Amino acid sequence: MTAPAPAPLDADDFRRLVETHAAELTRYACGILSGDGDSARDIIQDTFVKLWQSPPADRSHLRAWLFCVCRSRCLDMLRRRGRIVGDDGSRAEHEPDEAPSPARALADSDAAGALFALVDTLAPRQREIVRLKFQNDLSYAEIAEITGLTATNVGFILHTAIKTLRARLDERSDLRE
Amino acid sequence: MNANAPLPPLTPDDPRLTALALGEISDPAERAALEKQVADDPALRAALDSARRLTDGLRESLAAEPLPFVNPAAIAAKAMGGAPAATRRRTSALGGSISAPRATTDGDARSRLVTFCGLGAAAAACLAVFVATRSPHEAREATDALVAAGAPAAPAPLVVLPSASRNDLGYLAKLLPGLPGAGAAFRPAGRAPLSLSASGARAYAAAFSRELVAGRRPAPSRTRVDGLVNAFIAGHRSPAGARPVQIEAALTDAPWNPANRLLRVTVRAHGATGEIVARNASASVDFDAAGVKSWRLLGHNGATAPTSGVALRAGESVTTLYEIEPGADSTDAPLGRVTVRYARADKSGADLAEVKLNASQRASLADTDADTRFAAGLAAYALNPGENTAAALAVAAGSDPERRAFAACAR
Repeated sequence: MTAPAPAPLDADDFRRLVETHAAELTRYACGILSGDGDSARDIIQDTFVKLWQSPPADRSHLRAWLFCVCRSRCLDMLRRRGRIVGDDGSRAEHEPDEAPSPARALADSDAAGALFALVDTLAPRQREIVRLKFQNDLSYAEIAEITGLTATNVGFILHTAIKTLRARLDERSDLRE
Repeated sequence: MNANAPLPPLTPDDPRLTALALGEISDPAERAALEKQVADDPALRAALDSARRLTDGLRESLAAEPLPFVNPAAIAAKAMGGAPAATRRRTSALGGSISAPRATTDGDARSRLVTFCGLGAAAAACLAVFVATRSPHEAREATDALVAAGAPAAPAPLVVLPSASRNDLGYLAKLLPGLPGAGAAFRPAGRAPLSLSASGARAYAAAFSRELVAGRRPAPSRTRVDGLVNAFIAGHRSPAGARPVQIEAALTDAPWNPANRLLRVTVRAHGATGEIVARNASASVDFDAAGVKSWRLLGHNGATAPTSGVALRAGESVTTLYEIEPGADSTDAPLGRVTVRYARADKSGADLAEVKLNASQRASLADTDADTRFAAGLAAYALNPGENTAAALAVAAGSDPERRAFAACAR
């Protein structure tokens, strides 16, 4: 037996969803696409086309669903460009990490911006999860839903990222002393 | 959690400690057990405190990253394959007339850009930055908004502020911290001066931009917001047969204080360009105590501008910004009236241009017209120059090349 198609979204509800989430999704996509704003906006457009045409049956996790679709589109784009190889978003080995080195990030930043600059020195997956957690205030469970990881894995990656950031901040303190 | 299973002891380098710091231990029994271990062990307490400090710092640091600008109405419209309701006309003109958007229909826009950016090497750098920062996508998005609106010749909110601002002006408040007391003091409702001269504004803005490019941010106490605003706000052309002097007024939220309002008043003279069309003009704004608790002039910093006995030439326009503290009813109350009295230069007699102001005519920063949004951005930046206000100014610049060039200097 075929499951009934999800009910379409109300137009006003849809507009409200776009208003609420378009900017944060664009920022998230920009992060994955190394700041390529034009591609990010195209992806956000596609994401909302999908929401309008094929909304999820379960509307209780719409925000996570939007991030998930957006992420999937970003990874598709990177894959087409040969920038990643794995389904999990892992990068091609030949692809240099475009993140600045920690030393450079520290040199370029003042105290207030140090933490922000250091986030960009993390490995791509750590960086993504740190941003999902602290910039978008998503729970481990929601991040797991978006990234396809388990909540335990999300917790471990976040813990490792925080440890790395603390170590790099300590290096900064040592350099200043 | 199995209550009978022993809980592995925590160590300072334990992912569960990070989860505890982030409130991610959902099982109450497990959380209580972990908290007890932490309470009993100074090393764990120190590690937990350290994790909380760092994660608080991360939240604060990442939350400060500006949201990119998007056009939710255009995105929704394109996704739905129809016209966006949000692109309905809300130009915020409380009176007077507004015709076409200045950037796309004003024939001398390009020459003014060249003039503005041709004032020196520093300003030329602005142009270079402008070229580098133009985005075909943004242009396309702006075009989409116009097409979806179905009336390309009418003004449309080509670029809107980040969507969060539509629902939560606290976002903008975060972007734009409180002004450091610059601008005139607030005064109770009553008569306010309305400038009728913007002489030297463009030269002032060019000099200001040179300072910026040289790495010097002019002190707020010395900045003439009126000079910057008048370099970029020209008002709109009047329809044929209109009176020689017209008033545009727009009311929006003060970006630095959403409880307050920002009023833009632009007086523009029309007729054959350069010709005197009005003599002995005098102007004022009379704020009504019913809707205005207090008001202040933004940016003149004590400088006096002529408000009477002025001859107005066609093509001239003067914009003045006021910050208003609304009265008890901030949604539907008379705010006052703007009046310009003058003698027609064709000697056909005295004339009067007048616009009534009402709190109900407020439009949000996202929905107000592009001139008012950029004027708000200029005021915020000039009075409190910094990265956040510069970023907001860049958003407010929209697709206007001249404004974008200036915003690029500010950044």
